[in-house]
Amino acid sequence: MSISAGAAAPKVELGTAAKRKHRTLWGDAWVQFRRNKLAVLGLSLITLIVLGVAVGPYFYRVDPKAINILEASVPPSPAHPFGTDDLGRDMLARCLYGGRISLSVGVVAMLIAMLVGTAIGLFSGYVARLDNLLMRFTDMMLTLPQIPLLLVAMSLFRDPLRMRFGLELGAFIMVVTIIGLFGWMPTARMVRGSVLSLKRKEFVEAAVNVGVRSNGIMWRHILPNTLAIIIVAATISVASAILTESTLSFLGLGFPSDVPTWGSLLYENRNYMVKSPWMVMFPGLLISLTILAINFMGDGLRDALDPRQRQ
Amino acid sequence: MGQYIMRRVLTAIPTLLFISFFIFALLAMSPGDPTGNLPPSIPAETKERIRAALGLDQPMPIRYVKWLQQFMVNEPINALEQITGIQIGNSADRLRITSWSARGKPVIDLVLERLPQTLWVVGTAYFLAIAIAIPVGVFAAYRQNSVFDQTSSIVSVIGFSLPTFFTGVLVIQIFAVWLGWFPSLYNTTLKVTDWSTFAQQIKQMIMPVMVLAFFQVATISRFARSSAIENLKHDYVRTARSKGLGERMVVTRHVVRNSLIPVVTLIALGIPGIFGGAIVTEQIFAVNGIGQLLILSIQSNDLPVVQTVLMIFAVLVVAFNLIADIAYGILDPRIRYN
Repeated sequence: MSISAGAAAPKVELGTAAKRKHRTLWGDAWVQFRRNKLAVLGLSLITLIVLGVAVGPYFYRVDPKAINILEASVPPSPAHPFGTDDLGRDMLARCLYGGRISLSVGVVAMLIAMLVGTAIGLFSGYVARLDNLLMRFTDMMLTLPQIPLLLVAMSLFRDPLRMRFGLELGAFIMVVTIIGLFGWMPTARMVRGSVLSLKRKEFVEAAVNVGVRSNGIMWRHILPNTLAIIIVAATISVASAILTESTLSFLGLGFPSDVPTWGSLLYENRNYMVKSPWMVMFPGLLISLTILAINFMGDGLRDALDPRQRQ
Repeated sequence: MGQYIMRRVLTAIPTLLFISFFIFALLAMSPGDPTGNLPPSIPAETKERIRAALGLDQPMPIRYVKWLQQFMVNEPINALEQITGIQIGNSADRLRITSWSARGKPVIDLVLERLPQTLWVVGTAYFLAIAIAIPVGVFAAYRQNSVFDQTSSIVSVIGFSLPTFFTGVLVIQIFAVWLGWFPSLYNTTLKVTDWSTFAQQIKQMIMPVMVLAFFQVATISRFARSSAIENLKHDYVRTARSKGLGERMVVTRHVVRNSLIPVVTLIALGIPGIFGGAIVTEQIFAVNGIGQLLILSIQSNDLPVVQTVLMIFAVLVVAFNLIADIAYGILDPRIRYN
């Protein structure tokens, strides 16, 4: 790697006034990541969307639930940049509010999937006795017909949870758990593969020889080294969780239609898509852009965090 | 080879049992109760008798085995009887799974009514997707980093990032509303009798097929590309070139053949997924297929239909997993001795 490229790394150096700057793993990855234009585009787009839904409602102070029949089904205009729906509710406000839910579903479901996936991958890679059993289980989970089963599970367990935790929180817990518990398998496989190869590396052998216990080896030496793989898997997992949530909501079995998420906005306005297309175009566009941005970013991360890809 | 196939079939059986148990347990654990909707004036004793008549008082393992027999033995015979018209055994005595909402109609009849529409749309989309994706992927790999390669990989990331429910809406907006080329809704009563109705059928199939195929092209072409790139690096390619074969021959006869091996697996494994995707497209275009049946019966809490459709999906998954394994074994002899 050239020196000029090294200079572009963020300033995480130890402050020594050396001529050659100190390079870190993450600094290198960042340099590599920035070379991929699509990945940078994805990162900026996703930053923009996250900032928009997080901060947007403080600037755009329109109540997403305020009904105004006199201004129903108004096409996009300066007063309502995204138009209004059939009850006159402002679509931009609803999209911003819905984005918060959709994105948090993505992140929380990803966390669940990563937790389960990493644990199963780590144990089955490191503990030889568990390997066969855990991987059989993973393979079988992978053969379940996902979308149909998710739909059924949603419809069966929705009402009791809703009664216990209220409409919005109940649906959130439901959606997030189900998506998370059906989404950990690819991560488990990737982590296992990485653990299996790390286990035979010299530094692990060295750790064993100086008397580190296997618990310490697993958590201190192997787990941190699988971090790159987990990060890539997590990125993809956020995108797929958002996609799954909106698919479920679009089929009317995710969030109830009075809780606006991007998917449920599409569901509740689907009958107007011919007459007033803006009601479905904006939420659909937001979902698509988010997933596209995350996928571009994931591709870039995969290349950036894989040392073999570096010249 | 026979031994290899045998081993694969034997491992498929526990998988199928696991999935069927999962489906059974999911529905058995559900908080719903078949007597829950009955009026409160019915005494608890009668409700208990109804539950007993439904076999719900028996322990779960026994219910599971009986349910399994119904699905794996009785209903396939019923379906076979219906298709061929030949009576097999004492069919009047054989139990049938009946729908709770469609006036006690046997579930198999409902499924068989709707299966052709799904198969037509899904099948056409898949064949089309394969026919487009493989040449695109191989050509992109052959001209790695060319303009064609870069465009096709961007398009394919877009293809699998766009959710089908959004591309569906977009396609309706463009082709049905603005251009008016195709009807926006699927005419489910259309019977193909002559050329004009055939043309109508094609016309209304184009949009759902397009949406499903776009997604599949994206996935398969990406995979075909990376597989072909890997193969182009192998020594046998250099050997083929150095013995004087033309480039065309090298690519089509040697590289494509070898790089298709993993693609075949992907194609077989993707079939259950495309049926899942069909649930969404059938909902958008109002195709009366098996996916729509699933959604409708979930909404009306028609558990027998839900279970049957889920089981059909599960059997499809396991069957195509098996086919993928066997195909791989035939195409790549190294696998068999592993």
